[in-house]
Amino acid sequence: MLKAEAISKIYPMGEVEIHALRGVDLELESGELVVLLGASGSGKSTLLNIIGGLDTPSSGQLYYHDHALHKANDQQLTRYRRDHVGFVFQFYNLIPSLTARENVAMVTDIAANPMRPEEALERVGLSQRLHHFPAQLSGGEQQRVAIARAIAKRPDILLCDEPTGALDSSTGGIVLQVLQDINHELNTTTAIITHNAVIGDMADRIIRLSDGQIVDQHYNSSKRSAQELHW
Amino acid sequence: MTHHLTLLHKLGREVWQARAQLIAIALVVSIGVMVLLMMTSAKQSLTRAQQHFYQDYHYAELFVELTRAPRSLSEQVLELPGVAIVESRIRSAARVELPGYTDPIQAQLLSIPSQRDPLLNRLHFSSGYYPQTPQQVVISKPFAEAHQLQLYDSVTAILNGRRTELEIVGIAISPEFIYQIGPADIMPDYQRYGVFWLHEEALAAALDMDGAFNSISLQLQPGTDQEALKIRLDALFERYGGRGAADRDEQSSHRFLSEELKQLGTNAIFLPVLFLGASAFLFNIFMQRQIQTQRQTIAILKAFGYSQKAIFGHYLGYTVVVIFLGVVFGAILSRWLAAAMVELYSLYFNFVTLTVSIQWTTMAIALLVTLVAGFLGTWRAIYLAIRVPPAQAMRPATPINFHQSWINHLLASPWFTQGARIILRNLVRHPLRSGLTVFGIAISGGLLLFGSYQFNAITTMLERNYRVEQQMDVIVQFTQITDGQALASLAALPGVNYVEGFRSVPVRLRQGPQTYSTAVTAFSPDSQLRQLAGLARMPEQGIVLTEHLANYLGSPAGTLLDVEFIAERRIRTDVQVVATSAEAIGVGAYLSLATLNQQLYQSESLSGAWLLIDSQAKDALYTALNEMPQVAGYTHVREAEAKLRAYMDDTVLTAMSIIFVLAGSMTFAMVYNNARIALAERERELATLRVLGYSHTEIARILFGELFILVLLALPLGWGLGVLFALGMSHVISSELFRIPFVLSQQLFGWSALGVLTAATIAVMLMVRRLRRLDLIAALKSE
Ligand SMILES: Nc1ncnc2c1ncn2[C@@H]1O[C@H](COP(=O)(O)OP(=O)(O)OP(=O)(O)O)[C@@H](O)[C@H]1O
Ligand SMILES: [Mg+2]
Repeated sequence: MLKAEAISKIYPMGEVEIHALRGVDLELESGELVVLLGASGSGKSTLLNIIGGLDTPSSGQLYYHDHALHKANDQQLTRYRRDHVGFVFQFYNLIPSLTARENVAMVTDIAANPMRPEEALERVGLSQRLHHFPAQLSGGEQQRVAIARAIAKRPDILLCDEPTGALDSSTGGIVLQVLQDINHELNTTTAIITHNAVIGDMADRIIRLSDGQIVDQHYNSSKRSAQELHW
Repeated sequence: MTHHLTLLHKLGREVWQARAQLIAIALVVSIGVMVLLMMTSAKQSLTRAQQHFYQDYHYAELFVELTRAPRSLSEQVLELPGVAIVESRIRSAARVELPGYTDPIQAQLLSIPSQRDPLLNRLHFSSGYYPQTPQQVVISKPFAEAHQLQLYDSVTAILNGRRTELEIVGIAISPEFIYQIGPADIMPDYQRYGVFWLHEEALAAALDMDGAFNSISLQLQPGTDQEALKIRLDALFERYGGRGAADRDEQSSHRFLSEELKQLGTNAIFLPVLFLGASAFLFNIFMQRQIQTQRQTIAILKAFGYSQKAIFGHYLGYTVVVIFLGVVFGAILSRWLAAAMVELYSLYFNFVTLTVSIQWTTMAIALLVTLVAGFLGTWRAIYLAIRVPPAQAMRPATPINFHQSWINHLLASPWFTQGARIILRNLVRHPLRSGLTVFGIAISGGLLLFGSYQFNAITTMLERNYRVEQQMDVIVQFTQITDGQALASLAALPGVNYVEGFRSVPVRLRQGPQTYSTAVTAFSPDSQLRQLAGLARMPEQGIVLTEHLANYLGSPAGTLLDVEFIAERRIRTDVQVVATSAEAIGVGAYLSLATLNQQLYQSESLSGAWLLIDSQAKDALYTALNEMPQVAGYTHVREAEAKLRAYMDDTVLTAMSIIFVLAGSMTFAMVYNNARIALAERERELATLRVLGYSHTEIARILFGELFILVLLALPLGWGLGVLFALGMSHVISSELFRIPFVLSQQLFGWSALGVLTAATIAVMLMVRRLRRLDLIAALKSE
């Protein structure tokens, strides 16, 4: 459903150019759960941002079904994000002036076929926290609200950049379990960036980046449940 | 020392980053500074010019006008205690003719002693010299310029009905006529009114004043009791038709100039306070924001061993930079505008020299005042921040604490969209900032309303004066008191449609300790051409006073007023004040012709007439009037009005645009600053929304929705403030010359709103560009 061919990303920094991605080829299958691993600075976030329509590649081609995202303008990318993509970030990025329910409603208000905010929050186990403001929630709860917000529109692709980066291991486990459940139940194509190789065990496929290139990828034969993971 | 250098680098970079915001603040500072410098230096230079002119050219301190007294009487005046110098002269009014100029010209004629220069009220010559023979004349410079008259040109004056050809031998100005305005005029009209100085013999012969005078000026010894001297003078001149000793305050030139200086003084305080206050507030929110984002930096600086003083100084650096910018920019602007102002003033005030220089002391005061404003705006924010112990400040900022409250419950209701909730919760979360921003915008809205109010009020004033109170086209003055016969001959002139007679008599009004010299105008209660403001009809009996005069004398309707008529005979009697009238221009007393005649024991007596004319036949009428010996002069009211209105339209436009720019910049700075801060605070939030698939327009709506609400709230408040300013103004500016009527129209409110909305729109448009460049990934990257 999503196909990247020879994607490069170059950041001009004054005199020098930084090659964040150097010719990445990648195809995401519908419903699969992919984990992206790699050293800091290897280009993981850059790749994810490009896939999610937050950024455009310097060269190469990127297709979502038959939409050529590499040629899309800002308006088209906005449309793409609104209709098809869900994001989860390391730092939650909830809107502090809205309650949990309202944060989710922010997305369901503009989506074509959303679930009710209450349902999304129930899926992440936060039915009891509907009217709490972000400041009144723990980090793990905030991250789960962020996930509820990302999945409420029933996205085709869910992109998570270090979703457990700011959480302790048991809270992180809960969050990952939520992601895995949703991947199962809604058949949402999911990509998770992490520094934690253990997390790769819950993936269908593990992709390793180094210096802007995919250096290794393999399918996981013994997929484990997120709750079984320990780190 | 090196670490201070590092801080300096930090300051420099941050100032550069925040330049747009700081410039917006500096703009408001500079307006405050500009107004302060401009008004103060204008006031200083006018005062200086006035003092020099008065001193160097011996402007008299007391004046007495009388009917006629022998020259020897001035010796007696000199004997009076406290009198230093005495100068007697002959004064008269006359009509003047210039070849090729058909409109009526009125001139004030003053005699210059033969054989010597005058001791008092000396002339400053642009060219020429005092008249040496009865055929020579010195004319006032503005009159000469208005008609492009040169030395040795000739002019014709109608002296006591006789045409006299005079040769111009001097063009001059006098400390008595710095503001040269005709007795009945509201504005100087240099084409239709001038001052002529003639050789003594010329006037003596024409007016039958040989060995006599009808005007005397005095200079006093220092420390003289003026009031006591006035009483002595009044007693002395009683027999000679003295109108009462008057000091400088009763001279129109001095009075206008004093009024102007007073008003400049008020403006020099009021406006800068507004603008510097606004800049202090802008500083405050800017610093709060700046410091909020730098909590950790401050903590680290402290942990590294920077003293609180060093950190305080560092943050105060912003203030210093902005104030420096503002003061420099304001000073440059004010130099520029002060020059323009001098130009404007020299159109109205005829000084020997009028130069505006901005003095160092004024500059220093401006700098000090501005620094104080800046410091007041910033110190608290900085102080609160550096007081926090480093350990506490270094902890990561907790998420902004929104929590349940009644307002949030209200907002939770399903009517609100998420966007509306974000907007409203943010507004409520910063009540002080929101409130002050509303107030700041409201002040500029108020200024806008106030600015347009002033001009609206002046237009209304003119409208009332010319369309309601004085409906005549032409006013004719007779050379002497006549009867109804004169009206018949006027009615027979070409183009005259309607004639009404009136009589004007100089009077002294007394009530207890208050005295006031003016003229009563007597006309028929059935007059079609003269209306008293606020009165349906002139009462048959008793006297009507202008409200302002009634207040001044403490003689409201119903009281008995001591009136001294200074006519052929002096008659002093008590007359009942039956009503007051609310004219906006000038002060006066009015009674019916019948009452006047009865008081003066006379049958019908008229001193002038009011005409309605056919403007097509204007020139023929002028020619005919010029031929009539009993006509001393005439004024075309309608033309004066037209001229005044044209002038007002020009001035209104200029002044309105200046006020629009000033107040508009304030609104702009307020809105822009608020938007910048809102964007800085919510960059992450807005980026998140973009990531979630919201478009530029949608997030712009959320960001600017807040501003929109602030501006909407500010509009009515601004109207309220503007109305208050206007009320204040109509109280403060209430003099004998004019009272600004308190009249409001819908347009005023419209202008104010338009100005505020325009400035806000400009600020928002600048922000839209910024919002478009919002870097989604960077905004989300770190905490
Ligand atoms: N806006 C930018 N300007 C310049 N260089 C950038 C920018 N964003 C990323 N880079 C560079 O691109 C490279 C890849 O960055 P990216 O954020 O994709 O790494 P990452 O794999 O996500 O690292 P981490 O695990 O630390 O998040 C890095 O060398 C980074 O310095
Ligand atoms: Mg990354």
